[in-house]
Amino acid sequence: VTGERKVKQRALTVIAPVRPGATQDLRAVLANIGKRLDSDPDLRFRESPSTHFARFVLVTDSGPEDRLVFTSTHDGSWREYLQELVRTTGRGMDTIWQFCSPYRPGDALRMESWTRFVKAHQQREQMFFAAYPGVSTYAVMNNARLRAALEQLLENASPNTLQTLSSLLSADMHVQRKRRTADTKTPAWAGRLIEHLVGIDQSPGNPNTRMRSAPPVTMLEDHGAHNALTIVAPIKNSWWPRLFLHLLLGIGHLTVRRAWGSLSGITSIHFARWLILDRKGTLLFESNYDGNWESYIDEFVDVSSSGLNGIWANCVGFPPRGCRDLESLKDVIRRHQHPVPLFYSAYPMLTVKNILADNSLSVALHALLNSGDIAQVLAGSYETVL
Amino acid sequence: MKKNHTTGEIFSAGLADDLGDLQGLILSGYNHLDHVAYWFLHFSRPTLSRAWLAALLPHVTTGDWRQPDGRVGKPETTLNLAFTPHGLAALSFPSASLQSFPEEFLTGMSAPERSRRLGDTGASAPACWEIGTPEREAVAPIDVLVILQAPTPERLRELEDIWQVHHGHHEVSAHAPVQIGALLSTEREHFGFADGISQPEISGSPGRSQSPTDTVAAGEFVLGYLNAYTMLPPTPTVPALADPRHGLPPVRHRQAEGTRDFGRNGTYLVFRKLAQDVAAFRRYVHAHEPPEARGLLAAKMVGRWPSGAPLVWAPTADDLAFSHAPQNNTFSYHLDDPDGLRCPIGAHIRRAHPRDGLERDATQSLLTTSRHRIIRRGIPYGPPLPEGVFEDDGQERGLFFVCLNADIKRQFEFIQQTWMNDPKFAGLSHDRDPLVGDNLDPTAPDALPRHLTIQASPFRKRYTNLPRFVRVRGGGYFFMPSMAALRFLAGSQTVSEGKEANG
Repeated sequence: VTGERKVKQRALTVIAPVRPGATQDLRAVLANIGKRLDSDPDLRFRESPSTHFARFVLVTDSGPEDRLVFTSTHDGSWREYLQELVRTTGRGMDTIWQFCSPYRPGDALRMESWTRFVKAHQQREQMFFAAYPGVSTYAVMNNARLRAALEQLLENASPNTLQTLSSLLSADMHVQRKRRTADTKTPAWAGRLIEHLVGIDQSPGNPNTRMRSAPPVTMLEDHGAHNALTIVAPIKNSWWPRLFLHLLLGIGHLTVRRAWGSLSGITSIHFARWLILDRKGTLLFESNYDGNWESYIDEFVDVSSSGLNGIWANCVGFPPRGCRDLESLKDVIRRHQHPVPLFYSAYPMLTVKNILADNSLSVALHALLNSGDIAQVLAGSYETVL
Repeated sequence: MKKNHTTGEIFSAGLADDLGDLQGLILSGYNHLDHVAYWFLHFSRPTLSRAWLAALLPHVTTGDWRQPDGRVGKPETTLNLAFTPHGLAALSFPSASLQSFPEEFLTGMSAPERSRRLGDTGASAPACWEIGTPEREAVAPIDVLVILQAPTPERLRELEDIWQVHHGHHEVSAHAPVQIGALLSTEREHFGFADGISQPEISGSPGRSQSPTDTVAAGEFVLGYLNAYTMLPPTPTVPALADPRHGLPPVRHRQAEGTRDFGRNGTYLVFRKLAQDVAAFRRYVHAHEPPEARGLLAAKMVGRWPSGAPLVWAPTADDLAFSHAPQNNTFSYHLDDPDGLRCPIGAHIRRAHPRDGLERDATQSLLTTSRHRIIRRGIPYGPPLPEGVFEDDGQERGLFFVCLNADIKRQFEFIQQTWMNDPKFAGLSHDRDPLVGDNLDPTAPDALPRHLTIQASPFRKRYTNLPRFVRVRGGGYFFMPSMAALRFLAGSQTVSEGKEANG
């Protein structure tokens, strides 16, 4: 039985300008690698034990030059992670970053030059959310395997054994249910205040609006249990929205650190980050969410409309009536959403709820097997108990 | 399945004043009329389609059931209409204005990306359908769905004969054979369970609500009224120039000047023909449990007993004390069964309508579910499989699933994709709706596990390799216009004339 080891999850964001005229070629390269990421010999995230999620996104309609954005969510220290990337993804990174002007060929192959490059081009996030902080990639996958093994055990047990176990474990004695405790939901009064401050219009609105989906984005969605969302939107050009956004993300960053399982009540987000770029002119948001885009946005609006309004009303083009104007909201999101041609997930078939459940199971089993008497009994050392 | 309707009730935000403008099916399933015919028609000569519609108009059943003498009486037979985009175009609906309809309505139910959402794969894929298959759509696309309802098969037959002649005169042909549905004598669906118990109430209709959680904003089901987000639902519009007679109301917003509201008092109708493999269902239950436990397994799949009694109230055996309103519908997952020990988390009724049990927060859960409701108007077809029979008799049987909603994507499709067919629903891993989900299809095998997990203490019980009991045989997305919009489409009458014809 192993001991506990705490890890810290971190967000890495690297942004660099694409060489003039190279965008089309880069797009093709990303799409090509993205399609066969599982078997790519040069970009082996699967061999990087610290990576939870990673993605490349081309941002082409914001600012004077096109940019390549690489983000990943990883366990452990920054330095160790860069080392790991050189080892498992160096050649792939080299192929991709060559399309960016400040990158010199070969930089990603050596720790020293790679560190220098990343240091020069990484951006710090204003706010970072993790649904299961402290649970490493390894633990997520390990817990899932543990659960599958237990299910198998139950499956293969003879009906008699199960019957005996059931009757011996008198249910009432053992049921001790834990309700979710940590809740980062915005209180109603704060929500109203936020909506007031960003000037949300409460009237019914124009029914003569219609959303159109963006095919290149939708084509890449719904291929596993979760999807990747990247939004890049211009922030309103005035002091108040910019100040307010900074304040809100600052407060948010402190609050979501306590979160376990849900971002402001939303239970379908694994990780999310918010970055303010371009001297306060641009907001970049990315999330790894479970299920389909429509239901993700719907859940966001159902559960956390004030948070959504508070942040996004500071951006150009946000519907004046806020996110309850669902049609306009979805429209503006699709317009600012960037396709994610290269998306990696370490555990593509697991949802947040799966991971939390597996984690509880694993914690409980560890506790059980680590409690002295039981451990000895199960180990066959009856005499020590007697 | 259906709800009795009496007029004279006060609906929210002006709906009461517009009863005569609504098609009656929105407010009532016509409980007293057990026999239904669905006609999927194609306008072979579009130039005659307007005349066809104009002649039909006075016979369309509205929500206003007052007789000439002022008394309110149930209609003896009913007729309702709904159109596809192709049908609207054939009726000279301005083609540019079609873009004001939602994408899912324009692409239709059989589009590949919709099949992925709806789980219409394998033998349920549109290519295998009887109604609305792409192959047939290319030759004689569905333009209009006509729904007739009558108290007896004979009366229904009479109606069909009358209208058949009318269709012939206007070169209106059949896309698919007429589909006849009828309530079974048991008043249950083919698997043997009472159906249609939980039905949302349109907000503001007093005295009928079984539970406040079932009262939903009018704009969730009728365009032109505030919806669950206190917004007016997006509505199809036409330029004012296209409506010189001012038959359509103006769009209720100052930024929408110059446009007229084609959608107000209309709604979207979803039709699906769902074949039920009753023998396979019985065989599965039979093979997996000893005689005394079979009833419970079937009930666990549904979430109710055959009588309709919910497992939340009657966890071990059917109990007639809970089989009728309001007991059959007033229960809380959050308070009475948060862990699914009575009604499994993945049971059919818990997926289709999760009530207050979607998240640990009951209030939040109620808000969320109130935004994904549908009004169901379905009816079974085909003869029942006799009791005790375990082999298929080759007869077709199933359910005509019909539902009404203001937003197909957010209501019908959301329920289908995110609640019924999502293996990850509410923290599950490999389960889909055990009754109607896209479970193992022998004609389209894949490697994904299909489980049914029945929560129990101390160990859950898991059934594996659940087969698909319900196959999709056809379907489509339709728009059911208001009377004013029908008159606009027929292009023949002014508003005042229309009202007379309708009175």
